Amino acid sequence: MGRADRSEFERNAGRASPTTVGVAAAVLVYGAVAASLDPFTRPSEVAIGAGTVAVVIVALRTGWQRPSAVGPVPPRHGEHWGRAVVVWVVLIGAIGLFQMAQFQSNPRDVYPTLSSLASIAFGAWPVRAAAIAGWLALGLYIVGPRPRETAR
Amino acid sequence: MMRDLPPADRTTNLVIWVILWGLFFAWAFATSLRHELPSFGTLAAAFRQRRWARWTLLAAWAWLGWHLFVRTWAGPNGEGEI
Repeated sequence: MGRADRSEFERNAGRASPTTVGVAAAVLVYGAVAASLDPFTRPSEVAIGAGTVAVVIVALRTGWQRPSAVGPVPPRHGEHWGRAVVVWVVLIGAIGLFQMAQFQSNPRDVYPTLSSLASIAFGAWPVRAAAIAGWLALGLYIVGPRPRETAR
Repeated sequence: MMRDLPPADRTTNLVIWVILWGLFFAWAFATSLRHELPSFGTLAAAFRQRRWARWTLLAAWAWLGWHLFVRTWAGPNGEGEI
């Protein structure tokens, strides 16, 4: 890498494109506006519905639904892979089972579900705004373009 | 019966939640450090290989937003509907 190339690289290193900055700003504004709307109201339904529709539009425009949009199968490493997957399944299964057990039980004060715990935190507007922005960002990440090669 | 499984005590249930998520994130951290073990991202990438799985993931995401931000409300003082 020559001096000029290195200089260009250093100038661009760590910098987001204008599109990325614009999308991030829009996501934050969306979170702030949507968080100001009370749940169980038509405006909140419209706000969350609009975010959902926006992500679906991005998915369709990026060709996310096409098989070619999927990256390669992650490579498997070593003999511990299978056992590690079992640990993942056990952990996720335990969380799911406990959530179901809590959901089936009453009262909610004694048997908190994940959403009941989250909703307490979401009572504060900044937390709710950040959560909604994070939710939309997650949706955009899910349907966003995948790298051609996985890192691992 | 599943309804008899959780302890009838809020503190105990909260401790169980903390233990479960603590184990989850500890394992996520451990697998992120060791190249030969599948991280959560690797599992997610494998899951996304199938088209139905991708649509399922997107549907779960949409449901999560609707559930958390439209149909659940504790209110500033926890007096709301959950």
